[in-house]
Formats: sequence, C-alpha cells, structure tokens
Amino acid sequence: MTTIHQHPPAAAAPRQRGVNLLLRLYPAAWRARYQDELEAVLEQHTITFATIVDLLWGALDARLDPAFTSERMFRPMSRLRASAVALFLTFAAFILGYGAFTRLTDPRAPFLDAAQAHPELLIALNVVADATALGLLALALGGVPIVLDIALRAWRERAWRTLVFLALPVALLAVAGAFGYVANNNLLTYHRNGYVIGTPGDIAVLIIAGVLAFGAGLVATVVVGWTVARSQISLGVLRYARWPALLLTLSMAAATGAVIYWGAQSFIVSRWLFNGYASACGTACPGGVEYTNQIDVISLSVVAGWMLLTVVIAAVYLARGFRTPPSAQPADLPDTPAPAPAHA
Amino acid sequence: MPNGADALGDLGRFSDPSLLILSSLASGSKHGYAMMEDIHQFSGTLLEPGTLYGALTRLERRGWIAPLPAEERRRPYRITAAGQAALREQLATMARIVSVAQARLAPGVG
Repeated sequence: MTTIHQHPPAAAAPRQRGVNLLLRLYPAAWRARYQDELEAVLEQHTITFATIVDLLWGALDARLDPAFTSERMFRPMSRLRASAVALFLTFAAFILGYGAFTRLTDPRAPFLDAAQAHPELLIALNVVADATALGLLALALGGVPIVLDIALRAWRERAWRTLVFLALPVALLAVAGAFGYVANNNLLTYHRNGYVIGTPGDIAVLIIAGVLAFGAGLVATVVVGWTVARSQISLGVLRYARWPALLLTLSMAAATGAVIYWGAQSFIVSRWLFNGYASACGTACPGGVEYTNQIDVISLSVVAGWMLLTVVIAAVYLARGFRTPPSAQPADLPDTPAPAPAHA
Repeated sequence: MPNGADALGDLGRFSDPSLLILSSLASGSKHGYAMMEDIHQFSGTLLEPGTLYGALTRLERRGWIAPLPAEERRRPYRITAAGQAALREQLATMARIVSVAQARLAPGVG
C-alpha cells in the first residue's frame, strides 16, 4: 500500500484498453467474478506506472490463489507421475554435473597419462562415462513409453498444443545437434592434442554452440517436464517406468561414486593434476610439466557434491514411486492399456 | 494484537488495505471506486485497484463483506456482522497500542 496523490478521473483512452488487457493475466475464474467491476474502477482511475505494477502483482497473487487457479493447472498429480517428473528433472540436473565434470577433465591427455600409470583411474573415468550412458538408456526406456502414451492420447483428443510441446524439444535438439556437427567438422580448428585452438572465430562458434546446446537442453527439459506434469498418463506405463527409473538412479549413483573415487584417488596418486600441486612430480610427470595444474579441487568438489545431491533426490522420488499403492492414485487418471510396455 | 483464526492480521500484506476497506464500508455500502475515494479522503492513502481487489476477494471469502447486486458494471459491497466484529477487534487492539505508545512518549517517561 502506498500513499500517493490522488489523480483526477481519466477519460477512456488507448492506455486504458492496454491496462484492461493486463486483466487477462488474471486466472479465468477470477476474471469471471471480478473483471467487469475492476474494469469499471479502472475507467475512473488515472493509470500510472504504480497501477500497472499493482495489477501485475495482483495477477500473480490471484494466480497463486488456489481458489482461483484452474483445475487443469493444478490437477493433482499422482505420486507416480510426480515421481516420474522429478526423476526426469533430477537426471537433467545430473547431466549438467556430468557436463561440468567432462569440462573439468578436458583436454583429456593429462588425465589419460595419469590413468596409464594408475589403471584404476582409467576404470573410474570409464565408469563415469558408461554409467551416464546407461542412465540415458534408462531414461529412454522409461521416458519414451510415457511420451508415446501422452502423444497418442493427445492425437486421439486432437490436443494439438500438447503435440507441439512434445515436438518442440526434438526440433530444438536437432538444430543444436546439427550446428554442433557442422561446427565440429567444418568450423573449429583443433590442436593435435585434441583441444580447440581458440581463434576469435573458434570462440564465436563455441559461444553459439554453447548457447544453442544449453538453451535447447533447458527448454527441452522444461517443456517435457511441464507436459508430462500436466498430462494424463496410463497407470500401467507409470508403473512400468519405475523399473527404468531404478536403473536410472543406480546409474547416477555409480557415475557419482566413480567421480568421487576418481577425484580422491587422483589426489592421492596423481596430485600434480590439481592446481597448486605442480611441484608434486615436476619433470617426472607423465606427459611433461605442460600438463600440470589441470583441475581445481574446489570445482571438482562442487561438481561431485552437485551430482551426489541429484542422486539423493532421485533416490527419494524413486522410493516414493515404489511405495505408492495403486489405491493412492487420483480418480481422474485413466488406467487405459499402455501402448508400449508389457510389464503394465 | 488479535491472533485468532479470524484476525485481520492473518491477511498478510492485505491486512492494512482490509482495515481501510472495512472502515470505509462501516459507513455504508460502496462500490470499488467509491471505496478508493473514501479511503483517500479519510486516510490520505490511495489504494491501487489491484491491491483493492486483492483485499476484497479475501474479505468476501471470509464473509466480512458481501457483494450487492451490480449497478451496471459497478458492484457495491456491504460490511457484514462478522466484518464489523473483526473491525471492532482490530480497532480495539490499535487503541491499546495508541494508548500505550502515547503514555510511553509522555514527558518524564523512559
């Protein structure tokens, strides 16, 4: 509430109509009850910047008010569906951590040199990569039937918006992937040791590729998560998806464990890889001193901690999914035959 | 301060606008813009329409005000008996605060 000078009533003006458009931001149920009278008030009120901010704030407040929120937006999610969405988002966060870890260990040459002297380090690096790939496979095993179930239902019900939402991530990722392929083969200049040399052209291409990849990944994750959260899904598909989810969580745990083990073991046996420990082996370092000071202890700890956090969250939602009795499902969730899995 | 389930303070950031609205309606039913003008006149505070309707929805939900039939597009509201009780309780609390504060500000105290 602000204390400001009163303004004289203003005649209807184009600005008035613009402000009335702001009322569309309020929930439909709220507008059905109050829009007419609020418009009448606004016609007598001088519109200021404070009025606009106040209306925006009011719209947000009404949107968060359960009494006015549409049933569709906050349709109660079954615990199974909520678990599936949470696991998907958690895995996306895990992939972010995995990406950060691969960036920390890039270029690979010094780490492969260290792994040559200490094979357990190579095994750990391979486990990180393979377990993550297994996680992606599990995501596909559980996620594709869910997406197909939603898509088929949307097709039958002519819910075009849902179909567009499902197609959008594929299109975005295709664009980002195509650019990455072209950049890798035609646009970037590489050093013989495998890293990008870094000319201004390289930097520009890398920035574009990074923005495209991150943007496409983020939008795809949000859109898919949102669509699954708002869609009806066959219980059979959701029940089946718990098993890929179990594999997903185990893969995340294995990869995270390998990252932690690799970090600790590297610090013990190949400390020269870490910033601030260049003198740990001096010229005796495999590959020579040009490889020293590659990785930061704090950065690695943050990445490992992030991955560990995603594993814990995934485990919690996995347990929720398995502990949900069939009777706990909301009545609005139809248990129609699943299109893909036989475990239903 | 009243701390029961039906206290004005439970309305959070809308508690002050709600107090002003109830005070305005205590003198008779009014529609939205008339409330804004009346409140500005007796308190110097201009409620913006978004805040006014945020408070009105809450007051109506609690049964402290009630809508009357709309006159064209303008809908008057009236204060209910429950609204009068809530307003009285809030005013009594404020009167206690005023009394204590004035006593503490009096010369020779503190």
